[in-house]
Amino acid sequence: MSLVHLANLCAHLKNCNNVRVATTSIPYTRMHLQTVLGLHKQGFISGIKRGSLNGPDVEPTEVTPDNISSRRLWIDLKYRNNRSVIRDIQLISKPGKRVNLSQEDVKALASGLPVRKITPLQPAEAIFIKADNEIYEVHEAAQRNLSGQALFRVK
Amino acid sequence: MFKNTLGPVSIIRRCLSTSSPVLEQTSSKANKHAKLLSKYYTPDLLKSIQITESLVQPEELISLKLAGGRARSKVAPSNERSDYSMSDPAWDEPILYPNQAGSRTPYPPIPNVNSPDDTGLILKFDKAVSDEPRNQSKIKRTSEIAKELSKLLNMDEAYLRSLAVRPLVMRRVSHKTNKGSIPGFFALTVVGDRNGSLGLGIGKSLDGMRVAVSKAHWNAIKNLQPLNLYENRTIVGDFESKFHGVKMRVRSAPEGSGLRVNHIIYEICQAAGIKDLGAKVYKSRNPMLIAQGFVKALGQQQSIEELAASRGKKIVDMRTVYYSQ
Repeated sequence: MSLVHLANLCAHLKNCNNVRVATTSIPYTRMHLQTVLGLHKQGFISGIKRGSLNGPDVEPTEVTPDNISSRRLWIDLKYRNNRSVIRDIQLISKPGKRVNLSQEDVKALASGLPVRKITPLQPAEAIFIKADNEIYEVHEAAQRNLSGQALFRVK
Repeated sequence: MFKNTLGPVSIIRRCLSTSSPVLEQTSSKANKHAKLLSKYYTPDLLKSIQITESLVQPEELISLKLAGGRARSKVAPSNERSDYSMSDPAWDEPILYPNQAGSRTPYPPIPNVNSPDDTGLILKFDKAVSDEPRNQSKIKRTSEIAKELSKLLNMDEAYLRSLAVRPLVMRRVSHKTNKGSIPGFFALTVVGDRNGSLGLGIGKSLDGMRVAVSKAHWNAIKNLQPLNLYENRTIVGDFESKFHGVKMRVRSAPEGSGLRVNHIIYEICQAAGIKDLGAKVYKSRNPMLIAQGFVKALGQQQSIEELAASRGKKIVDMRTVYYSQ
């Protein structure tokens, strides 16, 4: 995933959480979809819907070259006890400095050990790794013996 | 019982021999008694004691025992034929000079003549129910604070009395008025039940440090809040906190690590019941702000169950479930 796009995504989610926005839209791309699917699986967001610039689709609409420019992904954010569920979301690999992890590094991170400058995995935190142009959570990646780029962490 | 059968002296003889079946019981007792006495007296003394003991009639002894602890044996005067008209030297009360008899003298004490004009008259007035309370000072003792706050806050008085209290900051401040500066007193106190509850209170007074500390204690109890700890010994995960100029990084620690923290944070952890923690304070190390920043951040921590519930996940302790410890 383009780290610039990922940085925009993280910043957008942070801004939305600060003002308690219920739903928000992000660009409709494969990597964006995989990222938000990962977040949803981990329980950080409550829903993902395809939609247009104006809002989520009421009826399922096929994506064609004609409407691709107006396609957006709509995310439902989660809040509990007057706090947002996503307390903090930040990049690990920055556009200026990529962090690539070997198989052992991924396993170490998944076990809660620090890896180079990456602080250990906190309770109720998720780290996402990009391996082979697919986005996995660190535990999943460790289970599958994958190595890749540490993208971002959410807690 | 025994009088009908035998005379006094012969009892001893009988006691010494164990052949008689009638006196078997008494002979064993008498033997025991003789054995006990033989530990403390020489054989001659023992014999004389035994003779005198044998002269005591059993009924007299029994009646004395029945009379109770205050009974006194009646000892006859030395001269059996006296009619008490003459004084008996053996029976007359010895003259106890007042200064020689210790504390139990029957005579009145010798008057103190250091101040002869002093008549010794002591005037005593009946103390009426005082309008002023006994302790009118503003310094409240722990028991008083606990009593009053238990009513105000509807909490158990014994619990409030048992809270650990520690004044963290005690400062002499300057109170500026139009006439000049008056010294004032500031105290910051932490209060905790060493089991997950914590309160921080500030007290200020012009009347002295003790009053300020007492006020701080009061306010700290009012600010008591429950904390979300992990395993009742450390925080959940790590956190970074910035409070005014104080920046701190606080890390949870494994069991047995202890408190490797700033001294202010140490006292707060002791009161709260946090046993393992690591912390580093950067930039400003103002004790007042460290205390406030740390307590504020602690209050914002969520328990592991809350975090799991937010994400819709089930939380499982691997040690108990997987490793069955």
